[in-house]
Amino acid sequence: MDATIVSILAVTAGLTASLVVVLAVVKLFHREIERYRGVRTAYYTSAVGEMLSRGVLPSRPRQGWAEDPLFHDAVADYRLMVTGEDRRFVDSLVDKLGIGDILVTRARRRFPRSTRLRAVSSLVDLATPAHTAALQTMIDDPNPHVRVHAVRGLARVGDTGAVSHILDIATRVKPWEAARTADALVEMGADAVEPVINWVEHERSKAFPSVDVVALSGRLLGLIGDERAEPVLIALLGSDRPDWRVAAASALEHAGTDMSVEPLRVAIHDDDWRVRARAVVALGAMADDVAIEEIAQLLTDRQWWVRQNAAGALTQLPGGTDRLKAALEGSDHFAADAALNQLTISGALSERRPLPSRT
Amino acid sequence: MHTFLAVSSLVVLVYYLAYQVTMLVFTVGSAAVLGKERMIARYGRIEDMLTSDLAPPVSIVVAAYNESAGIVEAITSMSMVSYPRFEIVVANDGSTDDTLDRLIDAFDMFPVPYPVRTNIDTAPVRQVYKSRKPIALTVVDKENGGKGDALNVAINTARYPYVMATDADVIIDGKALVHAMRLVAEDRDRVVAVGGNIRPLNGATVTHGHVVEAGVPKSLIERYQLLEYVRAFVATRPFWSAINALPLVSGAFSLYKRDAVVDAGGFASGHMGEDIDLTMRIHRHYRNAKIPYKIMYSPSAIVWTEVPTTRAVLRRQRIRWHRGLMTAVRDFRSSIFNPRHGAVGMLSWPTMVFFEFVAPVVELLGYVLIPIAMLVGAVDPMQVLVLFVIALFVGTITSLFALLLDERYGYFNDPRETLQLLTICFVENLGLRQMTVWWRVRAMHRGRQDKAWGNMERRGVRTIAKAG
Repeated sequence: MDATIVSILAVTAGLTASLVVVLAVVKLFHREIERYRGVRTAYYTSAVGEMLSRGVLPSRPRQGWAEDPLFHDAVADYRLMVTGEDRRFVDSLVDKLGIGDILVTRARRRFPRSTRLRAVSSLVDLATPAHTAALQTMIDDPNPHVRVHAVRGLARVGDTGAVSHILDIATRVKPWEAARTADALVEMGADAVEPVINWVEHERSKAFPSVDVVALSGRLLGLIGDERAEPVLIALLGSDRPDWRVAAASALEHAGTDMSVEPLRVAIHDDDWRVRARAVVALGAMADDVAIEEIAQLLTDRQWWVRQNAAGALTQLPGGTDRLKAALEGSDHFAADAALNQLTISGALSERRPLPSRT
Repeated sequence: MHTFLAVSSLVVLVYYLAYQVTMLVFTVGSAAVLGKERMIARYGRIEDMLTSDLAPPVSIVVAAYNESAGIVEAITSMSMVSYPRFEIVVANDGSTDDTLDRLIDAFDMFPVPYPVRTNIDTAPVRQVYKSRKPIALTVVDKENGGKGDALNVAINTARYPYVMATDADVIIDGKALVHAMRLVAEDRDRVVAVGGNIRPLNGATVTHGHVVEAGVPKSLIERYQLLEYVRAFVATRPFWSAINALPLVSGAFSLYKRDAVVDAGGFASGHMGEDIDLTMRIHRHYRNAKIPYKIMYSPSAIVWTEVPTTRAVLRRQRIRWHRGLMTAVRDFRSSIFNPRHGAVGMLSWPTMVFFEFVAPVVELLGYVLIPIAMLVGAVDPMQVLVLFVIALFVGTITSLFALLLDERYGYFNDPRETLQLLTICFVENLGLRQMTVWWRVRAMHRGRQDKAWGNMERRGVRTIAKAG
């Protein structure tokens, strides 16, 4: 027989046998590792819990604890669960053991990506204002996930000074990263409003502003829901960029007051259907029936979403349900469909009736 | 005659070896992709997306036909999926059992005059039901029209820009949707579809609609399928996904941009492989329109499905699958080695055609020709045997490697389960594989005769999995 074939046979047989052994060992090892991790996690959880209940920090902390990611997870779990005095106690434990510094060291760029990511992931939950500078350097990390975690860490420690830099970076990254950055800034709450407004105003003054991130900033201002953002959102609603108008209309649903009613009444006649669809929702959310006629007219809009949203807005306005019931009996089947849908969802249709006849 | 037999035997052996080596190459490629994916799944904190108001909402669409045994558990499981905003739309495709009644009773459904859009043409809708319970559930009762048609009705009814099509007999892992949507969120302009990781539910422990522990099933047939699923979903698809060449987004968990499905014409009615058909049509649509797109696979989006427990049911399933593939091969023959269709046309679709569709014929030929060739002395029996054993070893290496990759999930670490898995890697070649080869050849022989809905006997989650 050909020696080559015999060699190949030997190699494949050897490889098969090796893989069998490797798989068996890996599975056994994995099982033991998981068991060991479970035991350690339980130990750390009970140890931190006991320290917390007694209110006493360990006099001679074991250095191994501070190095162990499982201990970080246990401390982070407690830190997220407790508030007030207890949280300050957990913070002091983190400080005493130097956990934050260890994580900051591991998040440096000389470490592999997985080490950095794991470290910064824990740091998000354990960071204190003392780690602000380190987190600020991490928002320039080459790995997007590390950057996102760093932004979340800064948001949690309330570093409003970093907002404009974060948004500048958001203009250079992919949309998903910018969206997660915006999510993180929402977590910062009302403190982020002023810096975001300032950044948006500055960006708008540029010849070539970042359209996407300004729109995203508009949306995040809406999600924070602070009335201070209303003037800038109204300005965005009046801009010549459809994406900004859509974002502003969406945001005014949460951040709008009486001041926004007139601009939104204009916006429901916008050429872009997305603006109409969002603006009508915002008007509905304000529960101001001044524009009820105009909203009712949108039941015949050529876009499905605008019709649906207009019907949805009417369910929130005084007298709106009657308008929808009237639309049900009307000759416009599109309006009747939208009315029927929203009346069904809102539960306003108490009686069961057949679908309107269609041609 | 001797020469013909000798050459034929050699061709079959080389083909078989090439098939196994190709699978091994895909497995190695998948290993690299899974490493990165694992890191992000563990430390990327994607669960933060759950509290995000910027996460796009999703409609979970389900087609149900005579799913009485497991429909309530499946919908209960779906309702517990972790995601900020989603709805469930079930299309009852004219079931002849009490599927609809069970849904009405379990979720307190009441009939509503709900308007259904007509983006995709479908069989007539009889009635729409909404739930009085605090669950965003809509049930659409419709005339029988096949699985694809039922899914199209559900998509027409869906309110949200992304639809997740799934089967009525699956249990969706709590984080599956958020893992799949992470890929969408990372590239919303281009990602039009995401497939999930389908795993056999048989042998698993289920508590309150969730799989709390995976387990190796009892029978050889189920274990064989477990190995097949691991090879397909852990060892092959990550690689295809990385090069944007996924030829199939499995129907048990497929997330689509709603517009992409509508643009591609929706699911094909009366097609036995409606998932492969839609995936390929989406590829073709975007390639022909020269629009950048991605069809991706998320190994972390896990869905548990009941696999056949008896030979008869498995036979029916495999025949149905192979007929679906056969129709797809006919419909998309222009994609084979078509450079305009990118990696799908040049790599994955030819692989599907030559190593999935044609394989049973070549393999069966081998089982007939090679013994004859050996008997008449056209080939050296020892040499043939050695080549055959080498091919088997390469196949086993692929399976073992796939199981090693599967270790990322931490399943089956009990020593007895490990032994069972190791055994099936070798035993599958001693009859089980040949059995499916025969069924697939029969599927090709009888052509496209059956209806689109497979008549798989469902035993229900309570029976198939252990209660926790």
